[in-house]
Parts: sequence; C-alpha cells; structure tokens
Amino acid sequence: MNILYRNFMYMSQIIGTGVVDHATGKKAGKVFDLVANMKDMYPKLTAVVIRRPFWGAKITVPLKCLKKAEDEKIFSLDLSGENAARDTALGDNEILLRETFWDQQIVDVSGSKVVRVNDLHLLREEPNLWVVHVDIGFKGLVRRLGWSAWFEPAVKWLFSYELKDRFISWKHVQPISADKGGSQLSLKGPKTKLTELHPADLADILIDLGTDERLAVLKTLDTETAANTLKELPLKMRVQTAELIDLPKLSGIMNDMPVDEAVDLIAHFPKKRINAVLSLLSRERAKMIRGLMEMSARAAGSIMDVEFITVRQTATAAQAIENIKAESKGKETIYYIYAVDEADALVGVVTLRQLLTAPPEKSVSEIMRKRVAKVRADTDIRDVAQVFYKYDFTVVPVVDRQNKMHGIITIKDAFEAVFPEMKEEIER
Amino acid sequence: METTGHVKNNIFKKIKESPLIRNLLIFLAVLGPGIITGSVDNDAGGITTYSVAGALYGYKLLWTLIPSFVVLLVVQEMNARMGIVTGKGLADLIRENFGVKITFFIFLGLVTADIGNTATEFAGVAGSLDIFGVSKYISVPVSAAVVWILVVKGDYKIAERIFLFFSFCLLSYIVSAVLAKPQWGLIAASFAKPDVHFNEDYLSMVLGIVGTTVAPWMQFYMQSAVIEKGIKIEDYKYALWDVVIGCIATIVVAFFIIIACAATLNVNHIVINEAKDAALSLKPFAGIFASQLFAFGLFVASIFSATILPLATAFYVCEAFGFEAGINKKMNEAPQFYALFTFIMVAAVLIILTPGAPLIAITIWSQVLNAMLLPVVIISMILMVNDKKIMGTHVNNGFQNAVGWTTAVVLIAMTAVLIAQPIVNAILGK
Repeated sequence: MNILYRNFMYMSQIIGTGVVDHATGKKAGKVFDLVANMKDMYPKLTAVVIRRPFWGAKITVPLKCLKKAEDEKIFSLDLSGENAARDTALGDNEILLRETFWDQQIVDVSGSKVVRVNDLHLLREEPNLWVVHVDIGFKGLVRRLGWSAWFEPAVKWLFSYELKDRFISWKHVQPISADKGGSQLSLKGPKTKLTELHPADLADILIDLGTDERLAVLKTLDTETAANTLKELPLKMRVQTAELIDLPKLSGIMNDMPVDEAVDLIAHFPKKRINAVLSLLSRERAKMIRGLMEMSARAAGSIMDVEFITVRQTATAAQAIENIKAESKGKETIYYIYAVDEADALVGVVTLRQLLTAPPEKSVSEIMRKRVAKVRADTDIRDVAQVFYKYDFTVVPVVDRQNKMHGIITIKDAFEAVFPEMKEEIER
Repeated sequence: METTGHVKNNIFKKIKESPLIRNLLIFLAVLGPGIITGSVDNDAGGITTYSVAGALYGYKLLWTLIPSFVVLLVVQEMNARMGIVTGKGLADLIRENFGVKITFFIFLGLVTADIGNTATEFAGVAGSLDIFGVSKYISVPVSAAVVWILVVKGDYKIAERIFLFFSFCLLSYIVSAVLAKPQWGLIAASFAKPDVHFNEDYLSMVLGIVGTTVAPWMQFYMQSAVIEKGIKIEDYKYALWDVVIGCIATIVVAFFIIIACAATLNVNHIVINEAKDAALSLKPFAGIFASQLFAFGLFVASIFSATILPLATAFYVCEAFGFEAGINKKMNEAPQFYALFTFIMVAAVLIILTPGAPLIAITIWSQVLNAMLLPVVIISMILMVNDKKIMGTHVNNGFQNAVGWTTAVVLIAMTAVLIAQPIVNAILGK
C-alpha cells in the first residue's frame, strides 16, 4: 500500500519520494521537506515542499494535493482547481520538519538531556497527519541510510537480535535549533517545555549545546530561571555566554541573581560592558555590585552575599516571622535571622526554629543568642573558612568596624573561595 | 593595616589593568589547543614519514613543508574559528549540515584511516622497543593493554600532560641536524628551486608528508580542544597566535627531522627498513646513545598518539551519530563509545602482529590514506565556514577560500595521478 495511506510512517519514507504530475503523468520532482503547524499539542502537517527535477526550484503545496499514484513508490501531485501551489513563506507557528529536526539536536525533557534526531514518526488520523514521536535510535539511523531492507534481517539472522525503535514522545520534545541567518535568535515553535526542568538540569543541557542554541534557550527562559541556570554553568562558559546575551535581558538576569554571583560573573567582563550592564540596573543594586567589586579578592567582603534578613531586637517573634515572610524572596538563606539595634549594629542571632517555637509575644532580644560568631569584611577568606570549621556553622555574618552588618557568607561560598580548583573540578 | 592593604590592592589593580599584562594573561589563558595539536601531530607516523623522506630523497622534499605549513595554518585557523563561533564539534556540524549519508561515508573513511594510523603508532612502539631488544609480540599487546586500562580506568588528563612534557625529546633532532653539518646551500636550493617528479614513489612520499602534517583527524581534535577551552570571540586573535605557534612548532620539527636524516642517512645511502636505521640520524647529537634517545622519543610519541587517536576517533563517531561518549562516562553508559575504542585498538594491534607485516610501508600508506581523506574534510569545512547561517559575520575571506580550495583540488589531482599511474603503466605494458 502506498506509504501515505498507512497509519504510521516515518518522515524518511516520505522525503526523497518521487512525485509525478497528476494530469500529465510527467515527473514533477521529489519531496524535499514537510511543513507542520505547531499550534496544537502535536505538530500537524500542512504542506509539502517539492523540489523540481535536477535541483530545480522548490515549490510548496498543501498536503491534500499529494495523492497516491498507481505506482506505489511514488506520489501524484494534483494542482488542479483550488489546489494551487501556496506561498513558500511559512505562516505563523509553521516550521519545516526536515530542516528543524533531521540530524539536529533536541532536548528530551523527560530524560532532561540533549539527543540527536534520526527520524520523525508520523501518525495518520484521517484527514490529518501528526508528528507523534521523535526517533533517536540506531534503527532510525539504519533507515536513514536506506539499509533497513537488508541490515535488519542480517542482524536478526546473525545475532537473533531484533533492532528496536527508540522513540521520544512529542510531549517531551523541545526543538532547539537556531540559526544566525536572521537578526533574531529564537527557538522554533511557540512555547518552551524547558521551564519544567530544574535549573541544574537545564545547565547540564546548555553545556551540551552550541553557542547559538545556548543563547536561544536562555532567551526563552524567564529572568529568574535564566539566572538560576546561568549560575550552574562552569565559570568559563558562564562568562562566555553572559557576554553574548543582549543587555536588557542580561540586566534582568543580573537583578535576579544573588549579588555575590552577579559580581563573580560581571568581574570577568570587559570594562565597557561592566559599565553598560550596571547602568541598566537600579542605582542601589549597581552600587552594591560596585562596592563588592572594589573589595580585594582575598577579603571576606568579596565573597559575601549582601541579601540577608535582619530584625530589630525590640520586635516580637510574631513580627519577626511576618518580616521574614515579606522579605524572604531572593534571599539565599532565611534560617538565620540577625538582630540589630537602632544603629544597625549586630547584637544577636535567632534561628527560624527558635522564632517558630517561641511564644509570639516574646521579643527577639529575649530569645536571641547574643554571642555571634562573625567576621569583618576585610578578614582574609582563609580565616573565614577557619571560623566555619571552628564553630560548625553554615552561615556567618559579615560586619564592619562599627559592627554594622553588611552581608553573610555561606559555607558553600567559603568552601569555593578556599578551594577554587574543587569547584572547577565539579563543573567539568 | 587597612591602608597598607589598600595600597597593595591598588598596585595589584594597576598591574592587572596594564594592557600589556592583560593581553599576556588572556594569551596564556587561551594558549593550548593549537600547541597541543601541533605536538600530537609529530607522532610515530610523522617521525617515520619525515625520516624516510630525508633518507630517500635527501633535501629534495623539504619544499613540501612550505605548502604543508600554509595548509595546516589555514585549516586549523578555520577549525579554531568554527569552534569559537559555533561551540560545536566538527563531527556535529558535518552531521547537521550534510545529513546521515555523507557523514557516514566521511566517518567510514576516517575510521579506516585511523585504524591504519593507530597501527602506525603501535609500529612506533614495536620499533622503539625493538631497539631495546623487546619483541613486538610482547611490546605491542602489553602497551595496548596499558593504554586501554589508562583510558578506561585511569586519569587521562594527567597522562596527557606527562606525554606533552616528554614530547620535548623531539627537539634533540634540531641539535642533531645542526651538528651533522648539513649542506645549507642545498637546503636553500631545495626551497628556491623545488625538484618535482611525477612517478609513483615520489608522489606517494609527497602525499604522505602532507597527510601526516595535516592529518584529517587532527581537525576534529583541534576543534574540540578549542571548545573545551571556552574561548570568547573577542579573544580570537590570541587563539590565532596559538594556532600559528603550534603550526610553526610542527613544521620546524619536521624540517629538522628531514635534515638530520638527509645529512646522516641519505649521504651514506642508508635505507630505512626498520626503526633502528632511523635512530642513526641522532648520532651527531647523542653519539653512542643515539639509539636509546631515538627509541625513547619515538616510544613516548607513539604511546601518546596511540592513546589519543582511537579515543578521539571513537568520540567523533559517537558525536556524529548521537551515541553517548566521553571518558567520564561508565562503560554501560556509553557502550558504543567503548566498543569502538576497543575495536580500533584491537584491529590496529592485529595488523601490527601479523607475521611479516611491513611496518614502514604500513606507516607511509596510512599517511597517504590520510591525504586522500583530507580534501573531503577540507571541502566540507569550507562549505560550512562560508555559511552565514552557521558562522554569521565570521565567514572565510578570499585568501582562506583560495588556499582551501587549491589544497583540495591539488590533493585530489595527486591522488588521482597516484591511483591512475599503475593502471596506465599496466596498459602501456611498462
């Protein structure tokens, strides 16, 4: 039976098939590509690109113009009546299946990894054809080489092993091909499935992609996800990628990053770009970043995070909890809450657990621990690491000479600062 | 305390901001891919081919190093640029732009050539240890097993550094060449007035030299190395210097190997039949230790490439066909990768251990195979590097295209002559 009329078929069985003119019976060309509309849950075939004989011009015809021919191995092209060739330009939501998928990489969202497409699996559901699976298996490769007819029986005969399809359901497929041709890099297809993934998995995926695809993917993510993903990339790639992101998006990402991470990143930029990025950030944030960048790389201040939660020591436990609820967004850690006096000097620390279990009306100063292990902003980072070791904390506050609090250092930041080589190793 | 810290900071900052220091720092950070590729280039196949060329033809083939240098430079520059701009390996790009079938045939050629090349590396191992009296039936299987274990279970990165360090051994050829008092006049003449012939032996020798200097698998290796470095496009000019230095190093070593062999072996009409003969070329420098020095240098170069070559080949094939690959993966995570790696090693070892296998001939012919594959790789590279969809504004300029196309055409023509000659001779009844 003609391939177009089976229930399931592969794209490789359609592409390259000869087409004859329905009226004259003359050669009209070969199927070159398929056009699909991405509006629905699954891509729906809408048109077929046919290349005229001898590498001639390409024409695009609606899918219904392709009919079965008497010879099973070819199609017949009926362009009579209203079935005229349509405009070659793609409509909204339309993509070229061969160009976008064949031999290209996609993200398998269910397995959260990058895979290469060997073929597409189509389903016929009268009168439509849908893309339902992406074939990434060896069998697809053999089919693409045109060897299925002898290779599969040979393998079966020799090893009593039957080659099996390896499919990914369309539900879990995110196309990522991007090209430098147009002025704008963007992912093909309307909406991204990548937001389902954890930023750490997203980062692993980005590592496997080319430069353009990496940028295109980051572009589709909201700034918060992009910020979380970016900071999971190895430093070199992080800098390389961030430098290529357009300024408005980059400043958005910088806004959503913990300040110490932003400083880490921006410090590797050329001067011009640093100024350009900072000029787009809010004045406070730019000032914070500049302030941190001034610090010596060996001082505690250079690795601290300036976002932390403080509470007046006169506040009650209930007020403190309200305070945490209001301020917690964007804070790296909320377990330790630092108590300050009227002059913003650090006077004590309470843990979230203490606040939650204390009677609501009790004041913070009554439940807090007054002896706080802290470091000065100009303390050498090696000494900071020793403080962690000695006191068995996960976070220490950073103060200046007047005991005014400026930031916190997490044990992770301190660890990375003392063993930078370890960080690189993990990232590799 | 705070003030001194501040002053220190300022000084440090000033040093960091000085343009000279800044440029130097970036350069050092970018340095690597070109130079490593250059050193891997002078492997057992290279040493053997250059030695035989010098011993057979004296200074006559030195001129081939000039076109080889230009081609090497232009090709590797394209690799570096493609790697930096796209962030993708050459195998990836070929698959994405030329489809399954073309990719398959390119890689069929590459795997075949690389089995030959790996066999060459083991021939180097056999030859070098033979000088110490170790039979090839022991040295080759043992070293292959060691390489295999090193790759599968050991730390490849450390091994790579050790090998690179020892590749300085090759510099002894420079000293040896100078001490042998070569005829500098003849050397200059060979560049000024190249003596070109069209017989089979001469052509296959020329192709061999080009094929070993600009080996196709090196292009894949180079591009991956550039990507791994994470070089930014602004730092491209530093990457270019890295490529230039690597190419110069490769060619300079090749130049002195040929001279050393010409000045010692050719003048005494010694034909290289096995590695022992080639060791004589180091006599002016190392005296009675020439054999030991040569053996050690050849052994290190051979083992180094015998590790990298099958590994790299397996990696590119998997990259192109979408299998998991990488030495940080376990064997059951990347079965195709390890299977292919093992297959290439075993095939190469079997070729070398075949009784009566002509080691030197295998070496030269696997380099000729390289040279035949090279135009295919170069043409696909030129097509991609000129594609604005892939490279944006960083497409080739006219000079790069001219050199690329000329190389491809000349190599194809030479290959055609080489293949046609025996047939024509047979027909003419010579």
